[in-house]
Amino acid sequence: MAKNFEFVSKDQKADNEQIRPSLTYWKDAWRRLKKNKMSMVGLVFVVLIFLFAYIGPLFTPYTYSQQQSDYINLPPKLKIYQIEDNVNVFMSGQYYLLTTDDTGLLTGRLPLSRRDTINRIYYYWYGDEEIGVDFSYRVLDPDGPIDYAILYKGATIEQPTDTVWNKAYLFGTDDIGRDILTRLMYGAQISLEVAFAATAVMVLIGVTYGSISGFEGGKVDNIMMRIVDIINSIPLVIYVILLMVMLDKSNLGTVILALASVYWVGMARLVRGQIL
Amino acid sequence: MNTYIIKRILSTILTLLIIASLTFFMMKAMPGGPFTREKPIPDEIREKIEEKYHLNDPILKQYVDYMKGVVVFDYGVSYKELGNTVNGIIADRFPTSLRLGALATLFVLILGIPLGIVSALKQNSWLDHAAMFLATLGVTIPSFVLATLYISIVAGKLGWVDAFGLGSWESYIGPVIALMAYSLSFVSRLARSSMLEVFRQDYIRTARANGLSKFKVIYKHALKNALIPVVTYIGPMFASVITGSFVVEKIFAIGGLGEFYVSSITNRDYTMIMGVTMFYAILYMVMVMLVDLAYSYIDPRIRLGKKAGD
Repeated sequence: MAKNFEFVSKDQKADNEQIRPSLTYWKDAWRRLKKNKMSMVGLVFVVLIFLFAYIGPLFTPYTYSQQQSDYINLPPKLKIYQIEDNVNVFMSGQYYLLTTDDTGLLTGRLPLSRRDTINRIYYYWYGDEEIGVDFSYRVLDPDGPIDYAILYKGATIEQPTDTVWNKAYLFGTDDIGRDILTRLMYGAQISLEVAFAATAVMVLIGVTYGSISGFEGGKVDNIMMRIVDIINSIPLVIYVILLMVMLDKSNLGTVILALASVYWVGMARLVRGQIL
Repeated sequence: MNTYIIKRILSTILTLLIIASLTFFMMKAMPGGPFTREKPIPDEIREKIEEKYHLNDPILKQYVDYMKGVVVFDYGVSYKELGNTVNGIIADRFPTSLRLGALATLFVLILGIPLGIVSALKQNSWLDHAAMFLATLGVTIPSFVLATLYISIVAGKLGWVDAFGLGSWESYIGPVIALMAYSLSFVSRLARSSMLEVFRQDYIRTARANGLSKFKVIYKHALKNALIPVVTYIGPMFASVITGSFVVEKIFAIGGLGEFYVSSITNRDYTMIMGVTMFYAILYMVMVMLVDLAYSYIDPRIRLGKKAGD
């Protein structure tokens, strides 16, 4: 019997001991996150959105409120009609005739000279020359292939010569001439701030509240969950209006407060169900 | 159990009274009133109107009058929808929202839970990845984007269904998809994660080691316990979905109840606010109660109404 067990020598014992430092909680979490491809893709996207929101504005020449009254409601892609070398015209939704170069960079707006309302032709000044835009096609044939034609120096251009990206405003402009890309970046900043703050508050309050309620049970649980029900049943819009009145302003803090003060309720119910 | 249910019903009624009182005082605290206009109406006319609707009574008297109505489910006449009682409007609009909401909930149940279970069983397979990718999309894409995309593609470009209204059975597809996308994705994620959690438990390993078939282990032993978070979510979701969604009903131009949850407040239509809030609150409280009862059916260890350790 005794032979089945032998004393271990010191060297052998040392071999079996762990030399590697044990993984901390965060290291383990990070290692497991790295293994999951979907999560990593998600992480990369979150980082990209952060870069877009916070680093992006450094690279745009516009501010979020800067208006260009000539460039209203521009699409991201421009249908341009070539009239001369490296000079193209683009008809905007406002009946503004804009000039661009061949790459799609906007160079200016041509002033209106006169309107021939009988033949439905608008004339614009290009230097001393007049450029006409003939809108009669749509009237004569609503389903036809031609939207309008450009009349310049006796030539009639019926089809766009090219479709190019709007280089100056990559995502186009809104109805008062602000760059949509820039506004998207600033909007993303606000959304991210609200989302992170509200989620942090939601998890903090919701998990604590739900665990206490579920763990205690009985009367405590009943009262705590009825409070949750009360908060959940009163419409969110009333809270928001009252918060705005009470705080006398509507800024980011109000939005976060309003969302956080209501959304933790769902989290509390989920956690309570698990703890019960 | 029976004493618990009776106690629970009593506390639910008390909670509903508190909700009614809080809503009443909060909505009265909001600036403006149902007859406030950008162009002020003459004082005599305003006084006459307010007298007619008892709006210039002392606030406590108004409160008592309101509560008398609330107790017998009589919310009075709407200030904005002239000539209609609040009850009449709810009775008129609710069936539409109920049909849509019930369909959406049904699909969430019969699609969401199995999808979550299958993804959990085949964790990290292509099926799991595909399902979770769709679920992520469903959670992140807002319902108004889904609804407008659906209208522009299926109703516009393809022309398969009407763009608005609920004229035929096909026209239910779009609103139901827009209504259920978020919940469906959320439920399948919940089901998947709690199923994975349960699979790691000792009793599942014991059951397998004792030679029970995989099918039996999943459906008899694992599923019930995994359902707790799902049930927690689905109960209140059902209440909120059948009372209609403001966004979905606006986009598909469906005359449901959903729009009143926003418009009544912006219009300061006091009786309507009370009516729709209490209507939702009652449904919600009933669902919450059913969920709590379902807990003790799903997991008999949960004994409601008792302190931990009793």
